[in-house]
Amino acid sequence: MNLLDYLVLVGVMVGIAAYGMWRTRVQSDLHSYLKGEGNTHWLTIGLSVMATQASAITFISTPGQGYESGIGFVQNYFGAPLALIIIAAVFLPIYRRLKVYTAYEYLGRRFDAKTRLLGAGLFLIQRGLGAGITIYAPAIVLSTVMGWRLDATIICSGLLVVAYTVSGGSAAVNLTQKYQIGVIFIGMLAALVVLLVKLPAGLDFTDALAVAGGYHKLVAVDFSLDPDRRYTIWTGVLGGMFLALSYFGTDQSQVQRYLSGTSLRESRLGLMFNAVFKIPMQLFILLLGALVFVFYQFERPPVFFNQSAWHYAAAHGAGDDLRRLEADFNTAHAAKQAHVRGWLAARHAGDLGAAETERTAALAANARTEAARVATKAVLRAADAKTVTNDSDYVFITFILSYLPHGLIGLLVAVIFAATFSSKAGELNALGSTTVVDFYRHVIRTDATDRHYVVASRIFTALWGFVAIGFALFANLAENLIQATNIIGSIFYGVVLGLFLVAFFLKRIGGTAVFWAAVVSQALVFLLYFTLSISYLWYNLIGCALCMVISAIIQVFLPRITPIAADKGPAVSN
Amino acid sequence: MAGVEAIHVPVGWITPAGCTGLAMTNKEESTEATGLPGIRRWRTVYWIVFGIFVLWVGLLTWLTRSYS
Repeated sequence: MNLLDYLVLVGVMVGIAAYGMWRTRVQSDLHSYLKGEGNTHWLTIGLSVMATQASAITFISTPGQGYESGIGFVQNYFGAPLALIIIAAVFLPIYRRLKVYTAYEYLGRRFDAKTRLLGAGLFLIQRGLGAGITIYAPAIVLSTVMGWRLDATIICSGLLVVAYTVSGGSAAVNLTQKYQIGVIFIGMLAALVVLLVKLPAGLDFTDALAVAGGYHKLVAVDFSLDPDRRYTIWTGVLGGMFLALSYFGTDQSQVQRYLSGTSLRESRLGLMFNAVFKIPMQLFILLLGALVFVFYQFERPPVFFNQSAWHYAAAHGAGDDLRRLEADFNTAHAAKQAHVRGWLAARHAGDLGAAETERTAALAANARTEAARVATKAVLRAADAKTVTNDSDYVFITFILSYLPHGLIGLLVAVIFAATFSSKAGELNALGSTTVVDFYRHVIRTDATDRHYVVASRIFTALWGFVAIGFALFANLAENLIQATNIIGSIFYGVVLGLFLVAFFLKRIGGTAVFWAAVVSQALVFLLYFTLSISYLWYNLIGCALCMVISAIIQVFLPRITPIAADKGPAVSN
Repeated sequence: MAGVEAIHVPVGWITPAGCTGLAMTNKEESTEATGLPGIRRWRTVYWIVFGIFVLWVGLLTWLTRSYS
């Protein structure tokens, strides 16, 4: 990165944060601090919901997944549109009707105080853990490739997002997210254009797809019933739907976004915006990764994308082995490149037999490059046991730094920070709100002034920010960052969703039954996670089903519940 | 009724432990205008969004079959 890149990066990030703070500098009451002024347009809600979910991990890890494993990860999002429809039709009207600040307030009204605290507590645990990963993920990758200090990167980026989230509350989060997602869209489109321009002359988009497909990178839908496969249409639609129902429907970081709408209509349209655009957005990012893979068929990639780890090991006694493996890799890559060119030439000539022969030879050469990579990873691990040998998170950033022009490099790094800030701000805002509304105001100080609760919200938001920064400073890197986030979510989300589905649909089950069912279910999910080897997405469904079934069983042994016709109360207008 | 939303105050606002009863939707919510040209009911919006989802799955299945 040169001066122009730093100017673009700092200008974009500090500019958006400062503008958000200035526009939302007056927040006098709890309602406007936690929900904004209640005048948010549906497009802002839609972009805000999207920005909260799309963290930096999305833009670092997902292209790497596309490069490494192809676009099959898109199936993970197949359940999202279905879940968002259910939320818009069922969850949202109830939240808005009851004018709740947090989703867990609803559990308190439907069941009892202990169930509300359990739901809020599970959210705080899993989101608190996830918040550390959100801030750590981009920092570790960027500090490694840029040579920045990891702790300084975490602290600087963390403090900036804490500053404007504490200052402006929900309104600042919504406002800044709108501009941050704009930066993200522009940056990712620019990366695609540069990528397509840099493909070899004569190679059009369909050729690129053919090459990617020839390497099995375009298997978007897998109908296999094998439960060991992590991403299939079944895990995506079923597990993904339960994950999305939990995340969008019960996670306060999302609920808070769409409760800020002017009306039910604005909130619903914001959710439908995401239902329509979630799959294409993820597909676009994965396809970008698959196209980077195609690009590297014609340009030689590094044998290991985390070059800092490679150079460290080379300087600490593994140099000869690493250079020998790099030579093997380069030889195999040159052969592969020749076969890919022959494959495309035969394809253009209409000689399908020759094309298949060349493709088979290219796949064989690719297997040799992969063998060299596997051996390199073994050497790196032997040189330093702490080395993370999954380098897929470094693929896209390596491409950006190596092939994008200056100015655009700064913009793409700004994309990563913008995504970090947007998701981080949503999380901190939700953590602060839940702590104040569900614990502090509900249990500790029940009779303070509105002004007092605004100050408390600011303090708790800042505290959660410092917790996240602290967690990020001492975190260990997971195998793949986006999977780590989803795994943590999947372990907790199923049970939380079970609480809400019982509340919405099983009217004869009361608070005591569902509370103990949730406790038992969460314990069972932990047990299953450490004993089974199924796709983590299934834990969303398992946790939810366990909670619903066990609560129904417990209720049989408890006094019968009399449903209250809550919706027959007087209608009032606001 | 842009900007104005009908709400219902539940009977038993502070629900005693073990009691239930918040209804899922009410008539006003299900008939609220979508504000979208030519689409009056939310159910239609949901079917359109579901149709787009099916189209995406179909397109991706075609992509898988065509390029694998």
